[in-house]
Amino acid sequence: MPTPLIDPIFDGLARALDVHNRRHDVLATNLANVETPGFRAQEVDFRSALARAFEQTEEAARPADLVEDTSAPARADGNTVDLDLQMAKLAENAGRYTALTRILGKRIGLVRLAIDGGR
Amino acid sequence: MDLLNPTFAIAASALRAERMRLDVIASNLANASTTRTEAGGPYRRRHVIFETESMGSDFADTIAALGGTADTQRGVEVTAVVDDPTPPRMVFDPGHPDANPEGYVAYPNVNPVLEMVDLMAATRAYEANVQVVNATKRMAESALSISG
Repeated sequence: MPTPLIDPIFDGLARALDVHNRRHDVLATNLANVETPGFRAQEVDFRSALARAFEQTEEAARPADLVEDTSAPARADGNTVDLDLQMAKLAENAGRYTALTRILGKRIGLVRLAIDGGR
Repeated sequence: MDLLNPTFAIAASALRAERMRLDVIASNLANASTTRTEAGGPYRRRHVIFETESMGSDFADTIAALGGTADTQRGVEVTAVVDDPTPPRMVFDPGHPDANPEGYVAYPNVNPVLEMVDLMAATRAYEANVQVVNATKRMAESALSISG
């Protein structure tokens, strides 16, 4: 992977945003199927995907792996989606995503400041 | 429609399915005492069958498979609306025009309490998916405002 021209953190942050986006998709899928009999809740392998996002390797671009979400027991209809838990995860994930966009924005601002020479 | 964000399509499929479920519940409650139908006999309670639905187009599926992200975008759809097979509620009312020779009237197998519980569950599921839409919107907005 070539060395980024301006700031290596840009790539990492962008990939971290990707990981959050994918997790948002997975959580939305869980919530869409909250009443589907037999549906098994899913989750992304968040920790390893985030750690990988900031590595300067080809491996970093690989999308996050999916795992089964076993944090809630199955209901009588075999469904394992816990509404409250998934909503909490969704809110947390969206908040982290927004935080990352702010950080990325600030870093771009810093680079711009350097380009402008502080004027 | 899922050009910008497939999550909208997932949440929309759930909103559609839950709304349909609400329609069926409303129909069950409205007909809780209906003794005559086009098919003959009392109204029969109906319920919806939910199934997961694969979202993307062929193109999106192919791209997803290449990227190893296959099978994440799954919405939900109502695949059938089926009759509840439980027998009708028999009420002794000899004066009723639809009473059988023994004086019993066949009323729909609708249990209003059950329907109300179902109604609440459907409403909550609907609200949850509205929150998903809102969260998706906020995320898209914050991504669009990255500029420093």
